[in-house]
Amino acid sequence: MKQRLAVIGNGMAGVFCVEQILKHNHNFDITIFGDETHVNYNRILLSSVLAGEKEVDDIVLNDIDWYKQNGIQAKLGLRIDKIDLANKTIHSVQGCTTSFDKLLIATGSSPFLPPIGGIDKQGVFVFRTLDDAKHLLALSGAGVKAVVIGGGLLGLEAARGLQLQGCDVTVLHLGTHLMDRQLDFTGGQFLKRKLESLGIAVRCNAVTTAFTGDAHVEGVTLNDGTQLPANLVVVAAGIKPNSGIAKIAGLDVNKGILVNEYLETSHPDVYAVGECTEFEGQLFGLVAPLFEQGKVLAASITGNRGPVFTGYTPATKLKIMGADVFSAGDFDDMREGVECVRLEDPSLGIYKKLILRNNKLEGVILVGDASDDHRFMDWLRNGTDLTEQRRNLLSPAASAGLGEDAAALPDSHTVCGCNGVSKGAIIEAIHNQGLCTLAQLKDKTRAATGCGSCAGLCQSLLKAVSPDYAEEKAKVLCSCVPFSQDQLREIIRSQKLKGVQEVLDIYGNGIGCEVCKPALSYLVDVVWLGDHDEDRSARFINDRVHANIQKDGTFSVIPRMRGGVTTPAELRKIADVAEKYNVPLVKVTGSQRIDLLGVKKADLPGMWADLGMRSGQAYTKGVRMVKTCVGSTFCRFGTQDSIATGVELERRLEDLFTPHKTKLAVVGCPRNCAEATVKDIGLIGQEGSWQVVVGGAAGKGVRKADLLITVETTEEALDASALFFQYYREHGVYLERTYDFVERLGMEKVRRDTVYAADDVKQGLLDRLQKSKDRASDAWLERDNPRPYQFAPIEVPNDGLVQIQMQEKAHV
Amino acid sequence: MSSSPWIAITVIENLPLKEGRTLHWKGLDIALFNLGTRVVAVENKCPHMDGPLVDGIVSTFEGRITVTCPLHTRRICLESGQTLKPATDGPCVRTFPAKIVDGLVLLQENTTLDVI
Repeated sequence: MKQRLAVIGNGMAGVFCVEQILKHNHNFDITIFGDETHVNYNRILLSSVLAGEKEVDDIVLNDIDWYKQNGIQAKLGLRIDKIDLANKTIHSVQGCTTSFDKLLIATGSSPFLPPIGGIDKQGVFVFRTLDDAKHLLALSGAGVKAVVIGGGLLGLEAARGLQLQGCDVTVLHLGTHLMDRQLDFTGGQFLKRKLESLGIAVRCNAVTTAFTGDAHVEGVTLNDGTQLPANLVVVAAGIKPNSGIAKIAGLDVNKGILVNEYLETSHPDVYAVGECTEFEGQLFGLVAPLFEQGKVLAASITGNRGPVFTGYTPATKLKIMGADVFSAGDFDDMREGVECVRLEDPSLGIYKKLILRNNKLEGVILVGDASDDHRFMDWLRNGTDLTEQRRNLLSPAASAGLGEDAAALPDSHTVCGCNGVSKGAIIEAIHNQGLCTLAQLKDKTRAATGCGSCAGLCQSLLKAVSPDYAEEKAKVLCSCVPFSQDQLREIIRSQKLKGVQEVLDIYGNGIGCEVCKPALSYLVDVVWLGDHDEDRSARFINDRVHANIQKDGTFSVIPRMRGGVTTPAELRKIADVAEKYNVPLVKVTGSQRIDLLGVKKADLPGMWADLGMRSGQAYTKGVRMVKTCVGSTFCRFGTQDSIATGVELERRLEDLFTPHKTKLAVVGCPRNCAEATVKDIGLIGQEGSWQVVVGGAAGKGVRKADLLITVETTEEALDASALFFQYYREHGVYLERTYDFVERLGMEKVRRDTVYAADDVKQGLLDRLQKSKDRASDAWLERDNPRPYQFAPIEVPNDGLVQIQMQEKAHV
Repeated sequence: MSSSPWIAITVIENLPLKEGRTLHWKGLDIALFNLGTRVVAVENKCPHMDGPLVDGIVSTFEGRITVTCPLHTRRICLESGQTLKPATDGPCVRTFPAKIVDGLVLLQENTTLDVI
């Protein structure tokens, strides 16, 4: 007969444990009781939900089908308030009684509520459950003043989440520095600076004495008399184990439920796991040891008593992009016989500290860059002798060494702490499912989909194990801001950064250079569809004055001439302007336009006004022109109206930025007179249809464009072009031409993601293009509203500005 | 050696952050940069090929503040006038002492390099 196993607690620890039990040859009828109404979700990603980086569905770990498929009864929304050990029953608040043969307690922990007056007011929250996150989301928004009590891991993640929702956030921390249980004073200061640069106010040594306001909280009072306004308060002052029902039932309980190395409690049929437990004086608040416990418990309870739990090395990770923190072991460097190795890089905000004893690692602190954490964690866990590595302890493992590094890890090593994915599971997935990219690995195993900090290690495992390993291009943009462009897009989007300087301040060296600033300018523009903070100082000169700088510091002026079509009146105006401004050279360009060369910067706005034509964007990484042949308008062989189509295509895409310059052409028949087959986007007319081709080149190299799709109508051809155009804008690396772009991604993928994508995906691309287009305008209109001295020099008489000089004298 | 007088040239609002502005004064062509807490002024002419430094992007090289010439990406130190990247023993650009007083940008002719 089957034994009845009751599990109290439907959180990460309890359900992970059940997953492990399912792997054994068990004989249980399993019932899980959860007091939340949700299926098991990833509690450590709640902060990502609050930050808007993930949706509620994204953090579900076991959906309802999982319970069904495994024959597990889920009793959700039931709170167990009594365990009767004599009769082996448990009782819920709602009044139902359930008998068990074996009992697993996984009740977790609760937020600690400090005794502060007014803590029961409306608007004062804890941050523990999905419902808490939903309540906070509902109340947060622009202009809301939020105060977070507690500058520990949870408090800081909540603070960042609220801030990303638009709140003004202040963190009040009792200790002398942030995360004082995980960081030394210097580390705390580095973290404080990082958070302040993100826009979060931090006060340490802050003792909260009261919450003020009537029914709803309106402010916070500190013991030095300071009053802070607050419409929203989150209390994150620590957690305490939920061990109350176990104590009342008569189990041995100290702070947590006492368990031995087999996770057995003082009653032979009762086990406990997770944050409600206490093992040799240790309490638990992090996920990694719970996974260890779960594996041991699963063995014990199924009669395979053997593996033992030996405690854990405390390790903490703060998941705030750009303010990463990792801390493990004992970091106190004042102890007898320990050595301290430190690195401080104030301009990048990076602080690293290793504590060694006899060449073995005892503690580690990383702030600002925690990408190497697994290496230190392994040294710590395995007690590795570091004599050999002493000269480069703090430098990241060489990329060639990474594979070996990963190879040395035991299969049981948890690679992804967020989702509890072991090295063994990853290797099995790579082998059995033929994975060869990180994206596939993420999809199949969920590894690296949480905080993402294990992505590097996953990458190494792929490299070492997969025969078809395909390296994803992840070159960092620049040493000023050492992230790949994909990461930067993600950072800009998720951290809601709208200006280049913000990105540089928080994720870079605060200054930038001619390599990263134009790239970041592009990225903020395209991520926010033109609704970004334009910073001209981050743009190349061409984009500051909308003209192309020449070797002698003069500029060239090329008005837009859609499709290469002009009129006598327009030509007359161009001629007049060329004469009026003594333009030294007038030249027909290779793209059917007219170039006025050798223009002084100060003359630019006047010329634009006299021309009365639009900017041809011939100076920027953007839409250059659409070259056309005569087509069916006059040509004897023309089958399609290439001129009208080209003019319309140019009108739809002009004024927008692209990763690199984008040149287009439309031809009315396959004779290809306007060279559409070597353009970034080309339309080739034929009897009854259009071929849309992309990725052509006729520069340093020549590349024939690939066919994107063949369509019947002109409108379909224009739409297909627009789909590819926006897709390139969103996925191209800055300074990557379409011909490199299509080769990097492969035409199959490009087609699948654009013209053959689902309707909503296509509509999304077109909508985003339209939004950008709505915000874009002819750059030359800036002539009517120039910024101070944007074009003309400041002219000052030899003795300075007289009036100003007199004011100055008054101050001397 | 008596130093030259400080000359008022403009109000700080006319110099957008980190974006160069050209100054014509005493027949000189000068590039002004507002770095937020201070203003720097250098001759508007790259030692390499005479590129207009005023049109460059403010950058950094080994901890020093530089401007990158728009023509061939030479990085010129805004403090010393030296070309830092690529490293060279070639000529420096002339620099001018500058300061902000009560919202006014003041400039001094650099006496040590004064050739006029």
